[in-house]
Amino acid sequence: MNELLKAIDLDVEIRMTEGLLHPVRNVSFSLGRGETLGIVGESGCGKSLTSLAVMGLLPRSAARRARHLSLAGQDLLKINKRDMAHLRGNKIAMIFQEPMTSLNPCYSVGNQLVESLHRHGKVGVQEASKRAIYLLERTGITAPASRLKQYPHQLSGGLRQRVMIAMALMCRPEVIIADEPTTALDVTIQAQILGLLAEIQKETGIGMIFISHNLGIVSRIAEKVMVMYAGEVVETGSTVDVFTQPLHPYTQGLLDCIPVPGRTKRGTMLGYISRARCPARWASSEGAPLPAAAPMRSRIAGARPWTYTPSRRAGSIGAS
Amino acid sequence: MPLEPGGIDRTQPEKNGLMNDIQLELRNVSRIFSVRKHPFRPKAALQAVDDVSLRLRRKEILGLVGESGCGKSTLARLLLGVLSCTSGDILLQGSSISGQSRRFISSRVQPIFQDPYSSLNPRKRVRSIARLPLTAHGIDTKAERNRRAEEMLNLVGLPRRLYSAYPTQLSGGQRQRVAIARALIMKPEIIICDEPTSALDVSVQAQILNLLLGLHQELGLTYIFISHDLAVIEHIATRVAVMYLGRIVEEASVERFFKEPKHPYSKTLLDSVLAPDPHGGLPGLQPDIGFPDPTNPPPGCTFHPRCSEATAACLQIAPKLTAIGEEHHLACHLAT
Amino acid sequence: MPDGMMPEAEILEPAEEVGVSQRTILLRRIVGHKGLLVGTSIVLFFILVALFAPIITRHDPYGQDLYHRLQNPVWYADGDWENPLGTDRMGRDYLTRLIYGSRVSLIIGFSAVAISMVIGCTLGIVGGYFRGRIDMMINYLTTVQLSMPVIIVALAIMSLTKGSFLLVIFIIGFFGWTGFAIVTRSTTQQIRSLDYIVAAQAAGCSNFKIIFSEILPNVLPQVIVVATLGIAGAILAETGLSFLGLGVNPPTPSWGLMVNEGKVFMFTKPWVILFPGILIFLLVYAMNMLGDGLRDIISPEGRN
Repeated sequence: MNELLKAIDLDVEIRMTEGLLHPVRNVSFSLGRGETLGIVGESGCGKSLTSLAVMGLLPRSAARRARHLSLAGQDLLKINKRDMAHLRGNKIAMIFQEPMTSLNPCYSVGNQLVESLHRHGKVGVQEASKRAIYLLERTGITAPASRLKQYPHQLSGGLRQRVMIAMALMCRPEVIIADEPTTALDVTIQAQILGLLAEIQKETGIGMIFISHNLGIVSRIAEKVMVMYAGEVVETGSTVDVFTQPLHPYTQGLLDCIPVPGRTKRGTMLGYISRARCPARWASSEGAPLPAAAPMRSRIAGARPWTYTPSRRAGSIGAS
Repeated sequence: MPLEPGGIDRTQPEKNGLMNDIQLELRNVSRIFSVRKHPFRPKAALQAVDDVSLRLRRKEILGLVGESGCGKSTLARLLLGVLSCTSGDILLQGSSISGQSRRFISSRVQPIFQDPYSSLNPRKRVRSIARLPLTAHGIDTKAERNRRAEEMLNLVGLPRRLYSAYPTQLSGGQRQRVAIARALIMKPEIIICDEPTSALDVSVQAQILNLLLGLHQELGLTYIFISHDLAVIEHIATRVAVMYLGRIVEEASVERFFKEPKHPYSKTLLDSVLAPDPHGGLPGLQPDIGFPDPTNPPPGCTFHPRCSEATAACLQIAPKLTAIGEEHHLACHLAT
Repeated sequence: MPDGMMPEAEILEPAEEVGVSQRTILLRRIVGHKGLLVGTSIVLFFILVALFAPIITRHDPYGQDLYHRLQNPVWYADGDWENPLGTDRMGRDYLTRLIYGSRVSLIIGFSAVAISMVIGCTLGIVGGYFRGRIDMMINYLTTVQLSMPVIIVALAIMSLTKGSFLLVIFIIGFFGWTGFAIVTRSTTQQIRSLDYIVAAQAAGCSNFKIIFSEILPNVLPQVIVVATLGIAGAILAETGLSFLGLGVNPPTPSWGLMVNEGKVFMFTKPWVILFPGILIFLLVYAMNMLGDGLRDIISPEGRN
């Protein structure tokens, strides 16, 4: 079975004092071995919540619903909390955005790395340490044995993120969800971390979901991409298709917004998306969503228009 | 040379007679902080800005590029007069700013910051925030200040219904507009933009960049645009200066910089620019040497540990910023 | 001006901006917090009682009636409704003295905290804003103040002077400022590094203006919480000092004094110290609930 992770019509609802919030609606995707799925969207579009919903890490006030949600054949909707906790870190791991806060400052790096394998597997501390050193080296950290004793505050942001990646890999997971792993890093470190992730994936065949608002990164690291807006998927397909022939006005608008050296004319107005900020979708008390936010228009100004060549594409576009 | 909107031929400023109109000049500016790294040892010296010399002409947009810890934020605060130089001098339209009152500087240089959430006082209304510089200078009556604030808020495109709102009710892009209105209300000549779009969504970033460009053309402003995003700099700036560990390592016009960068760090930065390209690859894996400790910088050229082309001279002698071509300065032993 | 510059002006507004106003959110949060409601109502009750004391009871709290000393309250065989809670050693109506005692507690509580607030906030904000040597000095002052024993100082002052209502307020006020100083100093330090302070400096604002106009409004929420909890502490402090004879002087109707005077009757007529004790407990408890409730409501709001 090639499908590692599959979701059909994933929904998230959050009950707040102001009403019922519906931040993720009808999200469907599938991820195969060795594939990278990029989830792209701006803040508030629900991409992070989607990944938390898959991991079962939603806040208590949030409810998850889906027609289908499975990881390597195992149904995640019916699973109990303890089994889900076992899966987390073991079969499916997550890398977060903030390297400053995702590591516990009270414990050494080695301690945290070894703990994640020790807790899940039956291996002893010695073997776990060996694997930790191997992974630290694999992620490009120099003098890995001495790093085990170091504490997070002694490491730079780039190093911490590599430690996070090593930690995610400790238990040999099948899927990794990377939620904006390079956003908080410097540009040069960012490039290195991305190269590292791509190499590791090629070597181990792990399926990866890469969440980002940076279209440049996603276009280069993902084979499939999913564009989200206001909780819904508005366009999905292979990266090549979506980026060379974007069909949904939001995708087109996003691509027009970005200045690209050599392509956008310097000193001119960039394209923009004319809309209010990414609206939160509220459900009325009856459960049906309220009328949509402002209809979007996309203005292509100044940039060279993207070429359109009609072709059959395995993907879909949302209603616009 | 194609003319850009606004009629200014930015590729050759000297042709427009702008050559001698130097708005801002930094002469060997340095700033040292003393930080206590260990409770019982003496304080260490952190050279945040090291012997920086720059010139900014009227209507130029100088893109200041560097990664975290390179000193660009400290430089911004020095230019605003909020921080004083340890050595060196900053000249505003020919006259030194040291010893000048905050009022003198504030009517000529104003900032726009990166974080729209911390650059506005959450307890004040938008109109009150926008008119703050006027209030500080005691200009006009309250009614007149309000009128000017509203005029400026309209100019930056903020909807009228938000003039009495609090910042918590505004989106990131709207807050940045308020920050821009506040910066422009005294009609300063120079705006220091410290990563004004880095914390914004992609589509909002485009709007704010468009706004800044439009205001630049309409009001004839001069910008120092600090950013780590080279794509944005390429789009908006006329000149580029690259900072590393407090020093300027390369400075050139935008065209020259993006066509033939000379400094190895500049090349690394350019290689890291990832434009949306499904067929483009990713850079290969390199071991993380990371940023050096600013209180204990490497000897000689501070970049040499990360430089693939370092020579023996690079480990011993720090290169000076020298002119290597027309309007092109470089601090590297390899090019000379 | 080209369109691309001002898209906000042409934004199509959503049909109805769903989402409730901030005021409604705040109100909902207040109503939902039981501790806050209970605490506020009890405190309000005490305040009203204190305000309308002359109307509630027609006795004079200072009016002695030596023929009717130490009368029992109404539930005893020989009590009557003229003095529902009996009379004290001087024949004064006990209920009246309890009612007027609320005035003493509340006035001293609020005034002392007002003094503490002014001193503490000034020192804390100045220290947090200017840092360096000034901060060091203020830290030193705070540490010294914290190590001073209230009782001994009060004793010393009382032995030198006659002691009075105002003096009690000043003593409690001067001992309570450290809480404000610590809180405002740390908050000011946090705010100081935010961009809008730098923007205000860059705009040409004087330090004075920045402190008043930018920092103070942001420090206020925490100050309010510290103040309400401080009032509780001040009331307790007054009670304690008066009990020890170092507080207000008789014949002022202070609950602490009443407990002191009733000490001797503790086993024979327990109601003499029971009632003031219960009232002290109730008021301080309510004040704490109020402070806690305010803190709960303010902190999620303060978090942007």
